[in-house]
Amino acid sequence: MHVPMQTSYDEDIRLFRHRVAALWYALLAAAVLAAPAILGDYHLLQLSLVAIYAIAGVGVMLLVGYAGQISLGHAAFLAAGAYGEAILRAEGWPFLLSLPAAGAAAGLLGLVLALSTSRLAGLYLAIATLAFAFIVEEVLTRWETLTGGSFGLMVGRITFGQVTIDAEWKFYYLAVGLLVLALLGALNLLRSRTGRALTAIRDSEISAQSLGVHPARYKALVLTISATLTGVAGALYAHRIQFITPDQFTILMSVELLVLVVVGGLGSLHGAVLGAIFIVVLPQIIVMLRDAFAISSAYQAGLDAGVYGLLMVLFMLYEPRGLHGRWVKVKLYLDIFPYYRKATFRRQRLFQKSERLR
Amino acid sequence: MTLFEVRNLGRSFGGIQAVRDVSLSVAEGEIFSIIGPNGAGKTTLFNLVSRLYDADSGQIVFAGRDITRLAPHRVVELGIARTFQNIELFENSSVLHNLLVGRHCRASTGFLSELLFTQANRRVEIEHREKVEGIIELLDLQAHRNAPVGGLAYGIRKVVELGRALAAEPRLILLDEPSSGLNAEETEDLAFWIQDIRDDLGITVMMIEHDMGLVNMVSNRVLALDRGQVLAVGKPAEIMENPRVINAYLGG
Repeated sequence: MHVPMQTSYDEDIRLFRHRVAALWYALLAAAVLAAPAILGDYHLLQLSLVAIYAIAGVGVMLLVGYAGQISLGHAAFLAAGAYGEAILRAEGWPFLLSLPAAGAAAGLLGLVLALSTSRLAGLYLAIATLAFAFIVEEVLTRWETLTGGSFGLMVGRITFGQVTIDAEWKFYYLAVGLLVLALLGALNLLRSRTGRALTAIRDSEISAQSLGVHPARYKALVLTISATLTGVAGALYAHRIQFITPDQFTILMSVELLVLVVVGGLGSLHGAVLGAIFIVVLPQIIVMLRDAFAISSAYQAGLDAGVYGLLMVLFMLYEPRGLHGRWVKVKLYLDIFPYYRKATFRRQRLFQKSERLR
Repeated sequence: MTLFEVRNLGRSFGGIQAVRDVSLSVAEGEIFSIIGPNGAGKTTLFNLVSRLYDADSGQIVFAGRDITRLAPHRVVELGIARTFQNIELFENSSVLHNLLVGRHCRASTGFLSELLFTQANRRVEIEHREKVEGIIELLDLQAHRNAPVGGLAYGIRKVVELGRALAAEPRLILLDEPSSGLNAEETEDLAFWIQDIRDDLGITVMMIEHDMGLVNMVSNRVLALDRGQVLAVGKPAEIMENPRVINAYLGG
């Protein structure tokens, strides 16, 4: 069992609380860096996709997991980033400018949504975000001169001056690098005043306000940050799949992002990454199951949606803290063996059930 | 010297006049209790002061400044902190985290310095921690520092909420039924803490309280409220003997 002995307050603030944790992260970093040398292109592609989903996941996690606001419209921000990137690149912008611009475009859209929904909460907010996503999807389909309508847009390769991202491993490093930046930024915000204000709004808006937190301002801030990160992920996604159409950014994509944070574990950045792995691996599992049960591929779309919905319900019921919560429990079980009691986490579960959607 | 004043305050909900023409003034360094039967308008009065509700009429003046129309999130930075009747803590966070949110109004770190976690930001964080540790020591919360508040006993949650309000370094603290749900021993601790808050931290205390023992022990003055109106104001002993108060609240 690990008993920390602390001698300064800084130890509670720093990124790695103790040496053992730092060591594990160093090993993880080494594995991530070494992946291209070991894995083939197909698996690298999957890992890049994990990184892209995880960047969007960090964005959705800040909004849903930390600030307690719900969104069924994040596909719109992903689309804004993807289309922003595709259009700006076609205009000849360098990637170093077009990526931040695509993120900013999505962020601006998020700010507009935040300002227009500042008086809504819970289910009403969910419905407003859903409607917003439909509007964006419709605009993308109809504004043919800009977006190519339902024919879609081709997206070229990424170039930095002379360097072209023309190999799978280069794209992988780029995506992972951006994910690390997103995680660091999120961690820094979360261990500062802003992060505390966000969780305060989630748990009790009334007392947050009585302690000086301006709820509307922080909600607008977190939605803007969330949309920006999702937009950056969208830009990478556009390069990843090289051809974008409006029907890639439907409600199913929004639900996928929501499943990502719920399955990963609300209120944890580990959860965003675990959820991203889950979302990338799940379709492969579904295909395997489909083959095993000899289900016609004609049912694929319905099968996807059905499995997402089912898993979301099952996690909400049996593991509201998601994969990360399960991991924390397993770790505690091993740490204090044989003293683990099932009731240790009971209390948190009760709060999750009743207060999340308020 | 008068720190806080309410003049002819009124507020109604539908046809019910919850607070009717209430005036009161609290001197700096005073412990001022408000008593009254259920539905007398005590909590409504607190909610008006902390600006959760808008007043229909009247004025609220704090430290010479009219705060009747102030934005609710700005009340605490001027120096009024409060607790709630039914504890309103951040249930999923630790005690430490809850207290640190109390420091929100006492810093203005920029977004960029937080995003990059600069040395300046780190210094501010450590300063907050030092302040909060002082409060943890004052209220004997050391053992629960890292415990999630959702799992703590009721009495301790009450104390955490008091600590969170103190973390904001207020000049005036509003306590809404601080002793409700506490046992005799905890109530006694509370009485000492309330006096310490006033004597050591120099914070003026206004509290809504039903436990007449506690009210008698700590209050300088007591105000009795009934049906939104002031029945009487005075020293605890005077109020206990006031026939109108006995009739409305204490019972004959």
